Formats: sequence, structure tokens, C-alpha cells
Amino acid sequence: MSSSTGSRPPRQQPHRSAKRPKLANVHLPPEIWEHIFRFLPGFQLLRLRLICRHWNDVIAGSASLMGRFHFCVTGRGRQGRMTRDYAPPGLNTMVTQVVVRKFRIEGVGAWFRDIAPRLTELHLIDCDLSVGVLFGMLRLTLNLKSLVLNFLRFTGSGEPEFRLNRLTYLFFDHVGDNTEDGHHVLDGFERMAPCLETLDLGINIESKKVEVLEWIRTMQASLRNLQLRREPYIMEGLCQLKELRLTLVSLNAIFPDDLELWTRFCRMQPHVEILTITTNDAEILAETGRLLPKLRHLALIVPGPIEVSFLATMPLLDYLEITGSNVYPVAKVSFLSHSCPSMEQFVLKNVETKDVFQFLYQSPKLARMHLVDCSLEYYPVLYRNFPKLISLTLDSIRCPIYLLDAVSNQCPKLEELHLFGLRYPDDDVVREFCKKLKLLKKLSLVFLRCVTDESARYITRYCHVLEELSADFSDAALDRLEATRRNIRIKRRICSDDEDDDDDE
Amino acid sequence: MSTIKLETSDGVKFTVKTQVAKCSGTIRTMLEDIGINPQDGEAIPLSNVHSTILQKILVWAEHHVDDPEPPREDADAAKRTDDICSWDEDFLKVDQRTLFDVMLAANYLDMKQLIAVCCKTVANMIKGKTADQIRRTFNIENDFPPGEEDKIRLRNQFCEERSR
Repeated sequence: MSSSTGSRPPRQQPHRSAKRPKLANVHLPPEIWEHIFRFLPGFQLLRLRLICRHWNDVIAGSASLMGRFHFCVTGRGRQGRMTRDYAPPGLNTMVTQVVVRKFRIEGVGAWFRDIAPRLTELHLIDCDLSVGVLFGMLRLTLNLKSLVLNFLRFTGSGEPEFRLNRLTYLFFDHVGDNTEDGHHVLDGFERMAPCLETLDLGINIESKKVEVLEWIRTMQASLRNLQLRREPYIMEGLCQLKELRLTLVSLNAIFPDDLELWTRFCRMQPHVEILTITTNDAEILAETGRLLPKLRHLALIVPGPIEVSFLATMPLLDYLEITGSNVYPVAKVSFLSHSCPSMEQFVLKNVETKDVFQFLYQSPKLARMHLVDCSLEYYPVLYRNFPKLISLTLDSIRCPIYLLDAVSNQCPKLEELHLFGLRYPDDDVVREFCKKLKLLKKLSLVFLRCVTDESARYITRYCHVLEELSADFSDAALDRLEATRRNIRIKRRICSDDEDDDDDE
Repeated sequence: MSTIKLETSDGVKFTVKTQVAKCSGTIRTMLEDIGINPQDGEAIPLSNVHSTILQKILVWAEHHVDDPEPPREDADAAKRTDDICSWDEDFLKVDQRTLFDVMLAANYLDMKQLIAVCCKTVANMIKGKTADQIRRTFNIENDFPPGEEDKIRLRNQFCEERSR
């Protein structure tokens, strides 16, 4: 059989694909997607990151793709002055996202004026600047969609006389070291940013509560996501806003026992799907579930012990996160015989529990599980599986050793396994899961006391579809792995500049 | 003119001009570096490629066998996608499944020009589409947790900064 030649490609022959679905659900390897994305302009790459996790990972993992739209310039803290004459090295003028960190910004020069009209996202992090300079920068960024102001120290005051009509996302936290100083920068934001979809104010807004409420009132039509430190005056005010239709609510404060105000709020906002709330009152949570019938995503910060009986009122929940508060002693969480049948993601942080696994076995759709800084009891139930579990993170948990055996035996679909700061797993355990978890694509073995370079050999030998590895192996072992398995992206631990900076300060 | 035999995953044997087969970096390496002797009449096994796809790829290779080496480009700059020749354009008017199979095979066979032209074709399928249209085009599920997209975007950036 030899191939035909001709000036036109031959007509398509009907072949076996004719019977198969026309849409490819083929998994192209990351390097091919990266190659494809190289043909696309920076602004579109930005949007492609939101298509799915896989694409996001491909783009975020590629320095050359990220450099196309994302630029981060880091100074040297208070000694690092940014004046009008400053020109950041390596700037691609087509970028649409800019992050400026650790500078004393005294003025911005031509470089910023050049890129400002195209910018859709600006982050200022850990900088000192005057309100006048901030407004001077923002005046130029008329297409800005997203603004993040975090760990900033402001001086002076000013009034913005321009509007950012496209700004939909505003994050504002840790300003002026969270004292009242610097909050006056918020003066005029209600005029500058009139149509936000997301307002995330982590700061204490007590002294600005009247202004903030008025601001929310004027953008009732657009605002969907609201994250605030809870403040009774604002809560009271929000209950009056008839046009407000929130889908995401995060109340970043201890929930006192004013059930009445909270239930009024929930009645006004029946569209809420995503809720972050601090309370360990199961009664309040049960009532919340009844009043928010669309609730799908619950992140709970528990200041004390809690039993999860409220889950019965939240049948649609596909995301559950329970975090112990740092301020209070470690909270005990009791799962008993309660269940969360639709749950796909589960996050547990900084709590103590004895019965979490019995609870998790009741969630057949569970795909991602993160257990961080927890004390867990685990009783092996040999015949139970996590049939859909794709991703598992165990980070600094205290648990019996046989939990790790269960990982290799009970998670047949596992593609991502991240182990950090654990005492037990040794090379034998690593060998077991390398052998048994045939689908493993991403693996992290970091800060594991008993895991040595021996494990690198098991990875080479058994993990045939592995795409990404972070591990504390010696450089020599990582080099060997890299040479034999070229398709694995190895993330080495980099000594970060940050730590140096912090030492300086 | 010398020929060699190639055997696909489904056991079909192809007799191909050596020059055409050498469009594949993988086969070129096998012949030149490892020293497989094509005169032995033994077929080179291509265990990752199905016969229907190999046949298609050989049509492409035959047409492009005399193409000059392309100039090296700057990897960081956005590249053009409007320079696909009309023959290739017609050649790649296939269903998506076949297109992706061709890409996987071209990747395995290390055929840089074919991969590039396929990638351009897919890039053109992405260009100018909304997120929903893109997901529908490629049958992708939005697997971000609801409403988390913004958060994920921000978190990714912070991670990024930390790792620098």
C-alpha cells in the first residue's frame, strides 16, 4: 500500500470515526495545548484560563504564555522607590495584567502610561503610596475590569474625578495595617466604581459603614458578589435593599446570636448560591439552609465545636469547606451519621474529628478532597471506595498510618495526589501508591520526613502517565528523573526572593 | 528509490518512500541514529498510530516532502494563524476527533510542520469565540467550582508571584 499523490487532498474517506461522536473528547497532552495557545493573543489567553482547570494549568505553567499578558514587578520594600524615571525591566507592552509589589510608589512614568489603556487587571500589593498617586494611576486605566489593593499603606487624600465604568471586581484588604488610617481612600470610590459585580472589602468598615452602604445601594443592579466584615448597621441596611440580588455572600466575622437579623437577610437574598460564614451554631445554619434553597457552596469557619446536622437542609450542596478559626482552640467537628449526598468537593482545615471518613463514604460524587492541618481518626473500611475521587491533598495532618494505605487501595480514579508535611509515608508507601494508582498525573511529595530518593525510582518505574511532580528529592535524583521521563514537568523548590526581602525589612 | 515498511497499531503495513517517512523526526532518528536497516524488509512498528491516521499523515508528508526548513521564530511572540496554505486548509477539513488524532500521531512521530499547521487550525477554532462557545466547540466541562473563577484567577497569580 502506498500513499497517493495529487495536487488536491483526496476526498474524505468514511473511516471508523464516522461512527464515533464528532466531538473529540480526546485528551491532548499539555505541550500540544501550549503550542496551540502560542498562536493566540495575550488578551484571549487571559480568558482561556477560565475555560477549565486543565487549560488554566497549561497557561499558568508556561512562562512564555504568561509573559504575554501578565507582568509582575517587585521592588525591595520601603527602600525600593518607584519614581517617574523608573522603567521596569523586561516589560512586554502588550500585557493586560500588571502586578506591582513591594515598592514605595512616588510616581509612575512612561511605561505605565503606555500600557494603562489596555490594562484589564491591576494589583498593587505591599506598597507605600499616596492617594493622589493611586488616583493618578487609575485615571489612566479606563478599561480596568479588576482592581486588587492589598497590604497598602496610604498617605494623603484625594478625590477621584473620573469613572472606571468597566470595573466589575474590587478587592480591598489590609490597608494601612488595618487601622482606620488610610480608609479615607474609599472616599469617592462610590463615584469612581459605580457598577461593580464583586465587592470584597476585608477591611474594618465601621467608620465608613454609612458610605459603604450607600455605595452598595447605588450598585444594587450590578452587584452579585459581596464580601464584607459583618457589621449590624450594614446588615440592617442590606435588608432594606429591594433590588439587590446576591449570589455570593461572604461575611467575614464572628456570627453573634442575632438570628432574627440574619433570617431577614436570607429571606431578602434567596438567590444566594455561595456562602462563607463564621458560626458554629447548627441551628442558625439549619435555618440558613431552609431560607437559601439554591445554596451549592458553603464555606464555614467554626469558632467552636459543631455537629453537621444542618446539612440535611442543604440538599444541593456540592462544595463544603469547614475551617477551624485560628483565634480559638482547635474546634471539634462531629459528622456522626449525617451525609452530604451531592458533595463533589470537600475541604477540612485546622479542626479535630473522629468520624470524617464514615461521612465521606456517603458522598458518591466526591471528586476533590483537601485535608489540611487536621487531627483525624481513621478506621479502615476495606470494602468501601471513593469511586470518583480525582484529587486528594493531605497537608500536615495527624492521622493513623493506615490512612495512606487506604489511599492506594480505595481511590481507583485518583489523578492528583499532594502530600505535604506528613510524618508517616516512607518509600514503601510511595511504592505502593505508585504501583496501584495507574491514573496519577500530578504528584507532590514535599516535607515528608521518611521519603528519600529511592521513591524517585518508583516514580520512574510505575507512574506512566505522570505529567507533573513536586518533590524534595536531591537535585541529582530530579535530574535523572527529568532525563528519563521528559514528559514530566518537574517543579523544583525555588528559594524565593520574598524571604530575602523579609529579612531585609 | 528506497522504501521502508511501517506497521501501525492495528497491524496494517505501509510501504513508504524513505524520503517521505523521514518527514517524521521519530522515524528519522530510528533510521539514522539507531541504525535500523530498512533493507531488511522488517517493518518499523508505530504502536501509537492507527492505520487510518497514518494514511492521512502520509498524504500530507508526500505533499510537503520538498518543503524547505522553516525559519526559527521567537517563541514568546504571538504568531500568525492566517498563513495556512489552502491545500493544508482543505486537508484539515475533518471532524475534530480525526484532527486531534492526527495531532497526537504527529506529536508521536515528531512532525513539527504538521503539528504547527494543526495547532494553527485549532487556534483559529478558538479565536473570537466566547467562553461558552469554546467549551461547546471542544466539549469541555467548566470544572471550576461555581463562582470561584475569579478567586482561582487571583489565587493563581499570587502563587505565581510567590514562586518567583
